[in-house]
This record gives sequence, structure tokens and C-alpha cells, in this order.
Amino acid sequence: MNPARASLARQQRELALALSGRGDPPAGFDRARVAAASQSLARKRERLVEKQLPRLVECLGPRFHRLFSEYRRETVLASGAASLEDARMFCRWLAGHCELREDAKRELLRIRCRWSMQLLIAAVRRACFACRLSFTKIGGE
Amino acid sequence: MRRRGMRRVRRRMISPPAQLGLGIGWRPQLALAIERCPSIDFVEIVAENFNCRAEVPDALRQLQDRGIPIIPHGISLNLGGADRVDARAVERLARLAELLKAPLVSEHICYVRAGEIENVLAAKKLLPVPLALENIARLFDWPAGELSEAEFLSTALEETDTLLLLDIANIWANAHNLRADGLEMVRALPLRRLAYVHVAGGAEHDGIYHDTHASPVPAGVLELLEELCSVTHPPGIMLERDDQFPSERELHSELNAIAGAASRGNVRRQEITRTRSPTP
Repeated sequence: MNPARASLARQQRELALALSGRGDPPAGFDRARVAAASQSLARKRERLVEKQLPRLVECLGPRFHRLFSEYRRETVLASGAASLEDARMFCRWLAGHCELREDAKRELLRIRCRWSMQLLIAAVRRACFACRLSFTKIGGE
Repeated sequence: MRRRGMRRVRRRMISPPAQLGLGIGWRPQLALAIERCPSIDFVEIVAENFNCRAEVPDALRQLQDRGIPIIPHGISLNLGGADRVDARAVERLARLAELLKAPLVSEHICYVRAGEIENVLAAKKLLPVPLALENIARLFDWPAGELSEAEFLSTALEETDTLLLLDIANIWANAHNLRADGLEMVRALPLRRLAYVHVAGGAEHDGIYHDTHASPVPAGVLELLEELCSVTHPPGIMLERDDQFPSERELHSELNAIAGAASRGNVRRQEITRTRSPTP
């Protein structure tokens, strides 16, 4: 990486941390405006996760906002991750971090079972596709 | 007369689509309203939400059957990042464009000095259709930025020979938040590369306007759209709504308001052209 890219990369890393509420912006930035942008992004992320997990959010009630803020500060979302990935990570974090009421626990379990099932189905599908492909190749030769 | 040797070597500019018309961002929550709206000429989809390999998703097939162009819009190629572009993400976008027979694809371009030119060029090589880049909303400026937003966009689009997806709501928001003149910003943009326009509504929190795509389009954005149409003819104009989805009636009135602003601008442009070149 050339020096200009490296310096830009450093500034972007620091800015990304500040925008996710985990640090100060790099020197020279308008702190109040970066904080406002950070708040705005937080609201957006929270809203998107809420859409992915409406029943869980309902079970958590007013605790959701506080828990999500805590989760946001403690975890790092991979670059380019979609809201579904954010929701998955939030569920994983939630399962390991706090005491939940029975209904929230049940809902969390249901969601995680559904996701595991989806992963399993996708894996089986891929395996079937690979099998078919290798048979076609053998047949063709 | 032999003209050979007199011909000048000129780089040809990629041409914007001829006519897209009035469009909307397709969302599952709006699918029915879009299906029932006869005035919609094109739709844009969030590319990351469609992970299709071989078949057009059912939801989009009906639109395709109606002859409505579908434009995949990427939101996570990270073209402006310091990292190299993710070839797999671009290839996914390319596959989607081919599958949907899209006239073009679009992505965002961040405003971070040089560096992304290489990323855009790398992405362009992998795409089967023209690429349009969208200006972003920002609440703060990059300190000691060498170029203004318009200068940056002009340079980036010229050097990469890409089209412009102009988010007029972002321009209005930036002008409002950074105390600048929206119309001046619009005029300084490379409008001859304009492919289509995004229009959306947002909300004000603590004196800062946020382009949330969750509220009706404010009058200021529509006025700026009219101004834009008074200086150029955008091939396409579309509404983006991502949250707090309105009723079908409200959605239609939003689309009508956009079409109205565009046609008022068009009339003004034609009047200006007429007065400048009076017919003998």
C-alpha cells in the first residue's frame, strides 16, 4: 500500500471507530458532527435489526434500545455486513451476555434454531449440487 | 477530399440511458403498490438483497414481463475505501445485471480524495453494463479536503468514464447541513453524465437534516429537483422509500409530486431554450 493510501486507511479506521461509537474521530474532524452522524447510523442499524427480529424486540420491550447500544459498543461488525448479519451477531451477543425473561429466551432459541436449519439446508443443497456436477462430469467423459 | 490525418483522436464518453422515466426503489413492502401503479416506468433494487444465481426472483419477473427495466443498486462495494475492491461482490452485481438484463448498475461513491479511481476502474472491468456512481449525504467535511464535492465527482467520473446517479435529496441535505447553495452544487456537477436521479424524504434532528428515506419528500428537495430539470433533462427520476411505508394513495401522490416538479422544470428549460434561439 502506498503512503497516501496507508494514511487514508488509518484515518478511515479511526473515523469508522468514531462512527460506531467506539472512539474519537481523527484530528481535524468536527467532533459534534461526527457524533451526530454516529447517532444517526446507530438509529439506522437499530431500526434494521428491529425489522429482522420484530418478535424478539417486542419481547425485550424498552430494554432493546439499551441492550443494542451496549452490543454496538462491544462488537465489531465486518465491513459490508448486511442487517441480517448484524441481527445474527446481536442474537449471539444477547445469548451470552444477559439474563432474559422466559418469552425472550424462547424467541431467541426459536430464531437461532431457524437460522441453524437454514444453514443446514443450504449446506445440503450445495452438497447435492456438487454431487450432481461431479456425476455429470464423469458421465460426460 | 481525403479526411484521413485530419481526424482527431477523441475519447468517446459513455452515453447515459436515453429514457428511463419515473421510477421507484423496489422494496418487498411496496411490491403490491408498485405492481398496481401504471405510472412507474422503471425500478431499482438493492442488489445485496437478491442472491440469485440462475433464475429471476418471482417478485421481479412480473415487472420484467411488463417491460419495466430493473436497475441493481449496490450498497456495499466499498469503492471509496482504502482497501482494494472486493471482486466477488462486483461479480455478484455483474451476474445480477446479466440475469435481469439491466440497462446499467449503480453504486455509491464516497468523498475521500483520490484512491477510489483505481477501485472504480477495477469494478468497471468486471461489469457487463455501464456503472453509475451516486453522491452521498454527509454531515461533516473531510478536513483539508483538496477538492469540493462537485470537483471530486467530476474528476472521478471523467477519469473512470462512469455515469452519474444524482441523489438530489443528498445534495439538498448537504447544502442545508453544511450551509452551502444546493443549486450551485448541482450546476457544478458533470450533468452530461447524468443517468438518473434519487429523490427521498428525511427528518430534522437537533438542527441537522438526516436523509432517512422514511418521510415524505420535503418541499425543498422538490424545488431543487425542479431547478435541476430547468438546467438539464434527467433520463430517469425515482423515489426512494425505505421505512415507515406510506399507503398506496400517499405513495402515488409522492410520485405525482416528483413528476410535477420535473415537468415544471422541463417547461422552464424549454422556455429558456426558446428565448435563447428564437426561430426566424
